[in-house]
Amino acid sequence: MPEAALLSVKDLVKVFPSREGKELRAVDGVSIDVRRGSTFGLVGESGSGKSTLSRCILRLLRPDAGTVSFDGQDMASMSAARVRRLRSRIQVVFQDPHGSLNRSKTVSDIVGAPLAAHRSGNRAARSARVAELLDLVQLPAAMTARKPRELSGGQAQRVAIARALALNPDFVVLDEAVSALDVSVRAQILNLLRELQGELGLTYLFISHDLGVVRYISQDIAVMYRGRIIEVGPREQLFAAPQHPYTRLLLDAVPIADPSRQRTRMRLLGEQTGADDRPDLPDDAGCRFRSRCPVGADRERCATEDPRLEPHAEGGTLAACHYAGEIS
Amino acid sequence: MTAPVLDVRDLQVAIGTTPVVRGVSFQLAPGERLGLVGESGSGKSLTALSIMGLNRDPIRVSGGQVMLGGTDLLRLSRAELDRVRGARISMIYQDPASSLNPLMTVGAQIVEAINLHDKVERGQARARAADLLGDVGVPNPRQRLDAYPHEFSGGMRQRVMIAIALACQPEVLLCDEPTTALDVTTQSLVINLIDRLCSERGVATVLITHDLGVAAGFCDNIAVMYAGQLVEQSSTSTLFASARHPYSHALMSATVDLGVDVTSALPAIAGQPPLPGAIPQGCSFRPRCPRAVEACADQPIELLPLDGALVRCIRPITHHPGSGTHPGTARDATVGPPTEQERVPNA
Repeated sequence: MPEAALLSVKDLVKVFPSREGKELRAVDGVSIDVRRGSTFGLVGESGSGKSTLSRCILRLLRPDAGTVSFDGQDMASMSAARVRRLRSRIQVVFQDPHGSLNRSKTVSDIVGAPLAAHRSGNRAARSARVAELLDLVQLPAAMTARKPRELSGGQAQRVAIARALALNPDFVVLDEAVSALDVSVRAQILNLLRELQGELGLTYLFISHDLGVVRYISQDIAVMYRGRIIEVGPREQLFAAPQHPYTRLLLDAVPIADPSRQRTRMRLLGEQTGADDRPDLPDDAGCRFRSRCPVGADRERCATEDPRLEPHAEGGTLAACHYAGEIS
Repeated sequence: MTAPVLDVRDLQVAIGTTPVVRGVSFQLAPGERLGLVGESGSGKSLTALSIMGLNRDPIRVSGGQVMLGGTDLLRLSRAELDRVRGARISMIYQDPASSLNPLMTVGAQIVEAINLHDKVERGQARARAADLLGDVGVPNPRQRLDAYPHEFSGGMRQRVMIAIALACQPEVLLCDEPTTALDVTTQSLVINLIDRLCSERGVATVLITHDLGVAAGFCDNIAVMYAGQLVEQSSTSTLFASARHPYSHALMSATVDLGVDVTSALPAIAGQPPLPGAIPQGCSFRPRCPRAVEACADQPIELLPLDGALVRCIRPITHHPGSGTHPGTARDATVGPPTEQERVPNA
């Protein structure tokens, strides 16, 4: 594990039973290193395995193979008491702010709940800490007595962030944390997350399907496709010179607010009509992206040999593609 | 201008007694694509549902006209409306999974849509359904007629919805966030499909979306909604090159696309949209607006013509000569000094 990594995931596998007795390898041998004080972006479409991976990291799911080490310690071999202590250092914010807050509690109960659960300080100290946390997420003190239904989406997400920060964590998983928010509020929350990271030295794992948002907030980015990381590297390289055809496709599909360019992009992409319903091929034979791939669909090597994540270009990203770079 | 196919005049919608759509007017020319863009709660979906007569208590239309050709849809009886909906005006929704009947085959649902308005014999209806399914890009349409919705992917289900909506050759198609529930790679395919089919068949389209990028690639004209009103309406290219209303401008600047500067804070809009029933006097955007002055609070602001666009603002943004020719320069326009509100986000 590299010196600077706060969280290190190695060869992680999570299998779910699926219909007809088959197995769904939701996460299929994933390794990532999240550098201390940085943001690691995990991007992928629905079913790519990004949320399963985050649940394995949070120990909400038990991985079938592989390791998750936090601050140099392997979490799987830890005693229950140690895991419990570690939990206070690892926190999460989910997508739906209203769904993740207890509707019958006040803002002050919600933000103070982790403090009570970990028996931190007395009542007065806890209430002082709640006030401090609300200030940190830029909510007026008058909000303490409100219930979640009296909050807007943005305010509710600020409450969820305050709760996540209550125990002074080092590491926060942000699982589609801004996806349900409107454009104007999303920008506010992204700004807040960046400010908090600077102020508190937080490390983020930022999971999203939105490439624009991931690009804005992350220094390192991994692209997931059907349980695998197919490309990973620093933001600049990944966006300037994507090596994997799927990364290229994702980038081309992001709408841009420029009418004439967007029209051209849309037409080009639309020529691949039907690509969204091509059957997924079995995991064991060749590259799992090849049924949709503009580069390797008819190539023998892509059908017979599963590509490994490896460097292709000098100073570039790692990509799992036999013909990496051809599409750029 | 040729006569509009759809002419919405001063549409008013209320939830109970609280107004939520507050006098929306627009015209849709034959074959035109109009984008209705806004954030949640802006009234864009309620506008579409009201046009279709699909509101349920306590939401009701409290005023205005919806002229389809020479007919005011708001004055029609239920039975008369049923003859128009699906035949002359159709709608597709955000979630294709819940818009389709899970217990009926896809073919039966398309045939049903055809039969509602066109009494054709069974074999013929089925053949037409297969053609439609092929037109929307479903592979092996004949076999797929007998499949159930759950056997389709999200993108394919939305294609089925489009086939149903276009089954009777409507003049107008309303699309309410048609790709919001889909993955990004599927989204462009579906938008492209709507684009192609509507061009081929001369269907005029209203695209309701929160995503300016999607609207940019599809729409001829865009109307921006805020707090139940249109605040700006113009051609797509004009809007993106030189948005005049401070809200349209702020919305574009706050959009996190692949071009944003990652080294600085995002130009967020302070505060949050007003709740229905608590809409400020005068301009509804005033409390969040960096350009607001006292006069903005005095009286309701009207939607007035300005350089070929319609803008509801007494202090519209001015653009420097030449800046209008480069899309994206809206970000550099003169917006005015930051106010205290900009530094105190509280949403």
